[in-house]
Amino acid sequence: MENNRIILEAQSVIKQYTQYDAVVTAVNRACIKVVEGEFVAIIGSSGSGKSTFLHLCAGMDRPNAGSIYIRGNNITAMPADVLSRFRGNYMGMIFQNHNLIPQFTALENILIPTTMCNKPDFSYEEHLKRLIKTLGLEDRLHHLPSELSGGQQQRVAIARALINMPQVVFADEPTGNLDRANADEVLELLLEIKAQIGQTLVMVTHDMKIAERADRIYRMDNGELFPVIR
Amino acid sequence: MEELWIKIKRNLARSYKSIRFNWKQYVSFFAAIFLMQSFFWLLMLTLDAQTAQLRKNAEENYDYHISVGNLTQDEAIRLQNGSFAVFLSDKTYEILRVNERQDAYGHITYTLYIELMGDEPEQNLRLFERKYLNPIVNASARASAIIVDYSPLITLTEDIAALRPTYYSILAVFTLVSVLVLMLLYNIRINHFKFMYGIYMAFGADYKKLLYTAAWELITVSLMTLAPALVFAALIRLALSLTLGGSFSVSLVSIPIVFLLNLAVIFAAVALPMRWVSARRPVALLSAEDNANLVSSPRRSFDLFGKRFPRHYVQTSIWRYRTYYLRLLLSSVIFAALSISVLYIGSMYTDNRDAPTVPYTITAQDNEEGIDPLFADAIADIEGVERIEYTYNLEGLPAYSDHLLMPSNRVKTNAFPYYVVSRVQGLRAEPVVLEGFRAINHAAYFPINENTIASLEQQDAADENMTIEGDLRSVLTTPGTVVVSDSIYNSTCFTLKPGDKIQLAQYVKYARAIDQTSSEKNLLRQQLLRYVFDYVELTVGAVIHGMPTDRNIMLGLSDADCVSILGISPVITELSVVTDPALSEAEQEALRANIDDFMYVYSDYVLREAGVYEDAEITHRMGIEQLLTIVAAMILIFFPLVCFFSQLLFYFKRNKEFAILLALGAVDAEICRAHRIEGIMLSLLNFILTLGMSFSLNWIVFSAVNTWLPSYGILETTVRYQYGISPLMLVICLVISLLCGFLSCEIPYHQFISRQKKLAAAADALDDAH
Repeated sequence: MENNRIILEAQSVIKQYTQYDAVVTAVNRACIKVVEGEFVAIIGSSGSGKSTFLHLCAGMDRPNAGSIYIRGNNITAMPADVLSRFRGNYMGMIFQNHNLIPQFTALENILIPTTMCNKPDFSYEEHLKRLIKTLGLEDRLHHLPSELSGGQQQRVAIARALINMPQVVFADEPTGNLDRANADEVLELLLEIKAQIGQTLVMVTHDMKIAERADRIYRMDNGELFPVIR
Repeated sequence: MEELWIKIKRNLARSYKSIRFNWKQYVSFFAAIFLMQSFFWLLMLTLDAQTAQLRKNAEENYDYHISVGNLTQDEAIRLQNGSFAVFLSDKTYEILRVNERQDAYGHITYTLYIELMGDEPEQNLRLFERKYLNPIVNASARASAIIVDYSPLITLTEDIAALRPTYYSILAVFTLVSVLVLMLLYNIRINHFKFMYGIYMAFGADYKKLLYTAAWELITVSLMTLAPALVFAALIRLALSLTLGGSFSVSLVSIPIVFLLNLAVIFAAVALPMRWVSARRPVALLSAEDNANLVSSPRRSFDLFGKRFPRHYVQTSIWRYRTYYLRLLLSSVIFAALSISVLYIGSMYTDNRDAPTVPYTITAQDNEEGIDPLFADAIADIEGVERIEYTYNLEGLPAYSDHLLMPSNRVKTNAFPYYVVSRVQGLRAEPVVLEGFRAINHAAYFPINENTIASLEQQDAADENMTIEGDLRSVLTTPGTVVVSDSIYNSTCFTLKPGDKIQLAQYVKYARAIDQTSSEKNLLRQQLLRYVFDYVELTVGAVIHGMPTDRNIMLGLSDADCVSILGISPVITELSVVTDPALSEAEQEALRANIDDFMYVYSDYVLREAGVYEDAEITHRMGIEQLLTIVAAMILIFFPLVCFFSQLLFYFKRNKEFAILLALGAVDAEICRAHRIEGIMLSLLNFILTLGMSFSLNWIVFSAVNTWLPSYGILETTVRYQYGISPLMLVICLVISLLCGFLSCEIPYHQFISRQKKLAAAADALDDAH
């Protein structure tokens, strides 16, 4: 792996929480290197710390120790506002429970990152059309999240994560709330778009069938990250 | 019974636990219930105070039950003889003292002050009237001149009972407002905690269970605030009593009344919201974990392409949450408007209190010539007398036989309930055509002479609402010229100008009898169809604008026209002595002594006292005006209470939304701006709505008190009120509305940031540990 192709690098990342009087170590000296265009899956049992680690990598949370680099930029040292803009421009996030904003329609939800980062229309119009078509959302664009099914909501969440054409997409169990058929469909769509755009995808999942589609698999166990040899 | 007590204890303990653990959710309920109970206590304490004041006044100022005045010597002796009895137990009454009065012609009259015997004098009253008083009055040649006055000692029970309807009506209004407030707060709670109710229902809670859970929680809150509210209200009442010199009293009856009202309000307030919740499917409630249930369906998306964050984002958010915001605005702003209206009612009360009063009326008994105008002039010149109002023998004219025809272009649309259109069809072969006119009945005639002109001019000078257009004296110089008022029930119905022509109908004969029980327009319609009239054309010489009026249109004619048109020579039958209500006790006594001096000469006139000064003093000591100001201030507190309660819960749920925006690239400053833009927009909406609603509500109160209630005979008023709004209160309400709107968005932002900072600080603490 050449240094200039590394898009994500985590060095000895530690994340601890205090719960009442006890300190819980959610992530313990986790290290990872992800190359541009790669699909990395992180698996592990519930509570193993995989979602926490993903949130740390996506700059959604701050580690207690260690550093995380995205495209060579140390996001752990970035001021909050700079990190926010950086995240909006270069990273995409897909949540397990969609986290769509209830008062906005599907289309408006998809466009939120573009307005957050003040993207001009022409920069994403074509991309938006392609995403909508690929994700099959044409006839659901003007519906509120509450009027969409779980699968449709997740497709909107994917479109939202990809609208700014981020270089790395973090997906936190994107199929966790979906049935098998919907989960397969969403994964296929995600991979299809990834193939079209060439983004890096870091996905947390407990579904081995999905993980097997990844280029590399990591296992999170009690906060520690181990590569899975296949 | 024991079982019930155990059940109550168990429910209270459970509710108390729930309140203690979620106390933040109940802060608004504590405040609202505390204010509600304070209202109830204040009202009951004021009723108790007024009752005590009436009792004190009666006991301290009166020793007699009845006074019988203007008696001849024979009549006085007969009444005195009636009081003698062999056995004390047979005694019905006792004469306490006798006042003797001699007039200028040497005639002596007597006033007897009588105490009724027994512990309950009311029981002896009927016996006294039947057996002793009525035979004397009936046998008297000048029966109508005998003046019988009942002192407050005998009317006390009735006086106290007469207070209750007023207080209970206010209590009923307060109860309704309280139900509204608690229902609004509970609705807000339900809206924001649907998820929780969904869980309850998923695990088997039915309507009864939900209702009782909610009611017990609020009952627990109300039990905790009952005593502090009593102390708070008692302190206010005590402060008023000490300042104004009124009585202070707490009746034990008030305690169960307030407690029962409290329970009634709580059950009424939660019954409907809980019925609504229980009718929903649990899944629908469970899916409302975020604010999704508050979003109005858009049907289409907004154009967000290339739009800058956060202005456009906030605008679209507000539009999507429009139902929520509308409900919030309406339910909070209504309290600012209510508060302003309560103050307006207070100002109406003051206007009414400060209006000139009629403490004395003088009538001419058994005298066809009526009251001598010279006597009236002499009374008018007494110091402290503002003016004299004259009652003439014209006021008894039958209203069913005549009517007026007003030019249709001078009749306003609000006169519609009172006029009949120009073409009337019915029994007659040919319809009655009054082309270009509107027929109106209920005219009150009064003569125009130097006395009535002086009285009108004095009234015009004293009443800022009233103006006289044209020349009143033209009536005296030009035959067929009249003075008219332009209002019905204090509402301007005509736009008459001096020089306009009106027609006065004069009854000639009837073609067919009319139904005498009918009234208003129906009566007029029948008159037009069944009676035959001649019409006399009259010229309007002057128009009285803004005069306090009842159903009748005032029509002033010269003495000569009264004789030629109405066939009656005007005679004064009664004088109402209008005085300044602010006269001191010494001035009141001097005024009364002056009137007595004139009565000495005019001994065939009868003077009657209305006791208005005493009533005014008692009412003043109750501090109703100050009380209304306090109530207005308390109502105003509901504004921020509702606003903040709703907004804090609303934004608490939106925390996730702002966290998502941060995750998607927004920065802190933009989130802050989003909150501020929302705050400014909400402030502006609050401002506009407060302004609109306050003016509208005041107009409703104004119309109700000035016109509607008098027209249905519910309220009698001699004052024509002015429509307006207290500028100071308006400014206060507008400032509060602006602050509420802005701060209800600003505070949640700081809460959000502080929550974020706490998380960061916890992370830093762990960093340091490493």
